[in-house]
Amino acid sequence: MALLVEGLRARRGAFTVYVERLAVNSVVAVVGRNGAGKTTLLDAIAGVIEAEGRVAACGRDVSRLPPERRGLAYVQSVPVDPPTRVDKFLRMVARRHGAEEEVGEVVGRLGIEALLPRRGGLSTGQRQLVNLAAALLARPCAFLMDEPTSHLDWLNKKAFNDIVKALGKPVLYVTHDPFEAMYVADVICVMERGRITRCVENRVDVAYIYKVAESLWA
Amino acid sequence: MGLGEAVVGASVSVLLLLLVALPLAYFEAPPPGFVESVALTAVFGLAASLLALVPGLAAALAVRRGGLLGVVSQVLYVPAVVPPTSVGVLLLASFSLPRAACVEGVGLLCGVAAFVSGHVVNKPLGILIAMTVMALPVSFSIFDGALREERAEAFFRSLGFSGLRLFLLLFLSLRSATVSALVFSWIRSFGELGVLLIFASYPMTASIYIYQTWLTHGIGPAVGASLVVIAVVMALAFVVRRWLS
Repeated sequence: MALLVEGLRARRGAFTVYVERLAVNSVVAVVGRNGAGKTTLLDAIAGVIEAEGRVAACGRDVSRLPPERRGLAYVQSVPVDPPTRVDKFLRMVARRHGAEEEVGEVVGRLGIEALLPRRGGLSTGQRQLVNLAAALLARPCAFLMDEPTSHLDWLNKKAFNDIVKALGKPVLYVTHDPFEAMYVADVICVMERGRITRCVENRVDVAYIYKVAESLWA
Repeated sequence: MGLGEAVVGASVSVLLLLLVALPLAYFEAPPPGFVESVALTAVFGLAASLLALVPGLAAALAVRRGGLLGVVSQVLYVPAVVPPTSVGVLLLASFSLPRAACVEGVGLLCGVAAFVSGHVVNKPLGILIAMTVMALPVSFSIFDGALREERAEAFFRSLGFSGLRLFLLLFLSLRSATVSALVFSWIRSFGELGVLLIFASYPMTASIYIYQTWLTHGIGPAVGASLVVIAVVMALAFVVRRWLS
């Protein structure tokens, strides 16, 4: 089991999130309205906020570990600016996780070769790809993604989600958009008022609709 | 021209009229010591702004994390919301001889306090302390705002970074905020009078120099010094805004 959450309870002010059980072995999308508790759920799993219950990553109980030792890469909705030149930053992350040889492969996979010598002035979409590359090089057990495409245009959104689908790693993916969830996820869970009310296998193929939409730019 | 442009135009015109055009009639060259006071302000203001960066970011992170430390961290706002003269008086009291300790003659505590007081009050170290205290709220509020926008800490920690390296990554990643905090608290140091007048009025910073010039030489030389300081600070602010945008 890549990521397993059991009896997780986290509070943000008067609001409480409680998840009895959530298993993430592929791409699992959590959809819900504003204020449903999606970000609080990810924060609790990542260890950014305190929580009761159990979080296991790759069979290891990480519930009491700080975020930096959980092995869960947390991609944010507003992508973080690389602190140094992109290539230096990626090498720094890779070195920390013994993944130096993987830098070239990850960069090629995400198609960000042209960004390597750049330091600033990256677009939001480019920054998000660099964030994803850094997250990959951290060799996480699983990814937590909090509306990672909310600031991207539709084409960048699709490009990002195509990469997520091809990652081959467990991803807990939060989004407002049920169509996006249907495109990217294998399992879709609905969150309401701090609870996951149901999870369903995604059997809907919206790839055709995406292809039609993409043709508008062709 | 829309209403917004009209309001901006009117505000700028009034300010330029009151702070530049009308005072020009009184313009006289400032007396000796002006350049030194501006240089002193620039050097100490920059040092104080640099010193305030780390606690400013640390407090902003604590606020984002929540909990008791987050609440306590908001104490860093205090120098911005109380009268500067109060901060000056309180600093003076903190670094002055504690009467109770010196009643019995020169004890160890009294000796230490006398040494500290002698090296801080109305000394360069006092200027640095006063400016750092006043730079803290600027630094804190800018980092707090930046971290509301970008959840950089959560991202970098999830990549395995912690401690000093995490701090460094945050400074570099939030470089616009870092530069803003540095420059705006530096610019602010030129305007600090209340704290310095009471706690560290010597050697003279630009604000103290202008105040003293007005008292001893009248309005003309004080206007000359003020206009030069305005020009320097406005140029600095303009360059920084251009760079940040």
